[in-house]
Amino acid sequence: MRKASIFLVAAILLVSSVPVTFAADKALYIITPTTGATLTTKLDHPWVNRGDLWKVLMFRSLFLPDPTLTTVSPDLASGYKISADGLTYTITMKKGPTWHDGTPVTADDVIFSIQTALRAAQVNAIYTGVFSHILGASDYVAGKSTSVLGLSVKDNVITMKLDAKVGNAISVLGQFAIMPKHLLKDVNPLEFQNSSFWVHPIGNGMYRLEEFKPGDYAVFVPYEKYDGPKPKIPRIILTAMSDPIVAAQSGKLDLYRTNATDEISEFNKMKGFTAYPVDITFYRYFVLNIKDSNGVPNRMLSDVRVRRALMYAIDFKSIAEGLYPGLAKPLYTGVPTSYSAYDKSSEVYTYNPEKAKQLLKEANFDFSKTLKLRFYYGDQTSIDFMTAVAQYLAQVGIKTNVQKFQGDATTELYKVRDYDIALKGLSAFGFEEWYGEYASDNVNFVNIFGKDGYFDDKVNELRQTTDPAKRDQILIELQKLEQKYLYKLPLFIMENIYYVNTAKVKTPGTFGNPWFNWDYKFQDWELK
Amino acid sequence: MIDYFFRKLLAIIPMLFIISIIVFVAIHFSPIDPINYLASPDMAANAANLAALREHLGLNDPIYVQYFRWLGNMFKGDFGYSIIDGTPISKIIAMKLPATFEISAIALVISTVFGIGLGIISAIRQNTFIDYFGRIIGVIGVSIPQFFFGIILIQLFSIKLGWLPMGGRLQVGYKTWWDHIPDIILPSVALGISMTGALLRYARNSMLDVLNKDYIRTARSKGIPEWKVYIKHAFRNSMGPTLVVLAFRLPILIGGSVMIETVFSWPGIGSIILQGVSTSDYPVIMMTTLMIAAAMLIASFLVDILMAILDPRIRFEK
Repeated sequence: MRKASIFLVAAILLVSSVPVTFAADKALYIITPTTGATLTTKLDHPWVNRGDLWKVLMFRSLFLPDPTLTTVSPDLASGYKISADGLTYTITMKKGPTWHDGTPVTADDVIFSIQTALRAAQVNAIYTGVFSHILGASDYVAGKSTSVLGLSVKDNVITMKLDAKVGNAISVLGQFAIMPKHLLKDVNPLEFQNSSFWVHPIGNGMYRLEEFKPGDYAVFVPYEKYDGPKPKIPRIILTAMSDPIVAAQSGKLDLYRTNATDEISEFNKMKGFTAYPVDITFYRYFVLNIKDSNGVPNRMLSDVRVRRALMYAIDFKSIAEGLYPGLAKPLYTGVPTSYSAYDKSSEVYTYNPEKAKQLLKEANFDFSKTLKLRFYYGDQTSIDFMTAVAQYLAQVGIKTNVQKFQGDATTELYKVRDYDIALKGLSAFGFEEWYGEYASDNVNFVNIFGKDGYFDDKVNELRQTTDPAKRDQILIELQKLEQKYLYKLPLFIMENIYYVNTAKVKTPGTFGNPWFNWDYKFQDWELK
Repeated sequence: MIDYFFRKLLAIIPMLFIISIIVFVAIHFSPIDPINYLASPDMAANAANLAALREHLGLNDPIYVQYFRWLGNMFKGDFGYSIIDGTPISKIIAMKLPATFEISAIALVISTVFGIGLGIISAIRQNTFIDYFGRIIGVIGVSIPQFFFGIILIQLFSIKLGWLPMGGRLQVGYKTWWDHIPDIILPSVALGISMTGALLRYARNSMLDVLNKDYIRTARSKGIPEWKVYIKHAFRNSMGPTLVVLAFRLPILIGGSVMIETVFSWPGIGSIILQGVSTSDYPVIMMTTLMIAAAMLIASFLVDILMAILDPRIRFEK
């Protein structure tokens, strides 16, 4: 026994004296969470969440937005013209871009992509919001025609005719990833996301997929025939990791973005990582279950004075400082206070429990009833937030029941509707998305706001207007409507933070909205 | 006796059938809609097309229609497709099962060798240092959750010492199976430690019980060497309860450990089960549940055989 113990100790000392090093890796490491579908059996497609770095580098759009998403420059298209009435777009394709299998990218790929997106089940509504206005789109979706009448091609020029003006069409086309017709034409659009194409997708961007091990990693390398500037980073490795902190500590993560306070706290302690905060329209707000699509009201919240009382009863500023220090900026309308379009005459809901009680009394609020508060985020900070809200409401006499949604959030919010107030998030591409939730053509929100249509005219005006001064004016009017009806209770705009391993990676230092496509200037990134 | 074993084997089929009905019905009472799961509420989605997809996949059909369609396809060898990503279930299993088998098999060997070995020695050397050591290991193994072992091992061996990878099964650049031995070590040790505890305690208690029996005293009084008393008489008679525990660990080779696979980002069956349940992806849930149920039933059958081999009295019972 004694000899065995001595031998064991000696063996441990011998092994520990041998330096074990893994081969130095000239690669940029990024991760995807293991709980999602990405990497499990396939790669994720870019028509839902566009902003992952590998999607941005692998798939191009017609235009390339700047990091603020306010201007675009040519990408697959060399330029565009809009007719005087704003209904006809003429887009000229570049000659030169190719798919990673060498096939040229053509206007037919663009037409195919738009038509497929119109029929796809899993696609971000910012695309269908624009494409549904193309002439003939509704007939095409209904199966009454085999192509969209308003889309045509001559040589490398695409003509897109709309039935109504759409103010952000070019911006949206700057997000929309073009897909290869020759590889996807036989796929049912309803199951586009399930196609075996996504096991080894062929893109047209700066990087191509070199290797994919489902559940483990994907390796991206520069595309040799890319028609743009050549990148310096030889490889990008995407791995599936459950814990970004551990991944960063063990050198397997160089770029990460987050707005989770616990992750931010840990990354701020890590040597070699630099934080780059980005201001984006990432909303956190309460949706109120006010009335169903037949107009049957929720008696607890049907009086607008009750809804105003909720805003005064809760000290959102203190909650933001306590739970989201430096991350959350209070919101009073859908337009952040720092924007030029913010209506300075808006009511500012400073914490005032006495005013809240007064409003509840005037509205004859039934204090014997319990308000159902629900949320779907699983992180501890969201749970703490809802608990704090319940405590504030208790102080003005409102009884609450706080629970996480048991089912999937979409079904619970719009179909089951067994709640009064729900915490929701929205990473909005533009104000059209935020205000579009009030419109009676929103098939989800009509189930909780009803079909009053109070917002419809102004929302449609906003969707159609490109002039910045006119848009600001429309937004001011929408904010007034918003505060008049209070169907949603805006809470915060959340900052997101990029963390870069600057000990290893050199970047231009400018970052944009992590949910969307923008010019990373990746050709200037390099490994030190 | 052969009749007895055939009857046991055939009884597995109706039990699997009943389990499939129970699981199928339970899934359909889940509040999660797999189609709506495809569209997070943070991202505006096309509700009309999602509804069309639901119809296209037959998810609006009555529950019994969906069940018998699934059952019919199973008999034809078509295990179906994942609703969430469209991959054939058979392909998912072919991809994930080897990963689970790797760590589970090693964990099973570690826990068997150390658990039974240490348990036996602990019983033989009762109330000595090795017995106390074994008992502490046993308590730690059954008290502390698996994921905690995993986190400790990662912190120590991956981050502090940098000896072993922190997670994942394959790293870039691997060419042969042997290359990813370092990746297997931590998850299988974490799983093995937690399995060792229970086995050690069973082996020790069972051995202690046998060592106090009259026939052991008789064997010693006949002058049989001590090592022969332990191996030939005590060990064989003490293995019954321990082998039952061991046999019911076999399904872990199929089902894996959700906790360990999550902590180590190990792409095995456990991670698929977790994703399937989170998304109500019923084809995935049905197939993985039936696999694990079949493994449990076969393990139970194996226990019956083993007990009959170890204990001749069972063979002659009607």
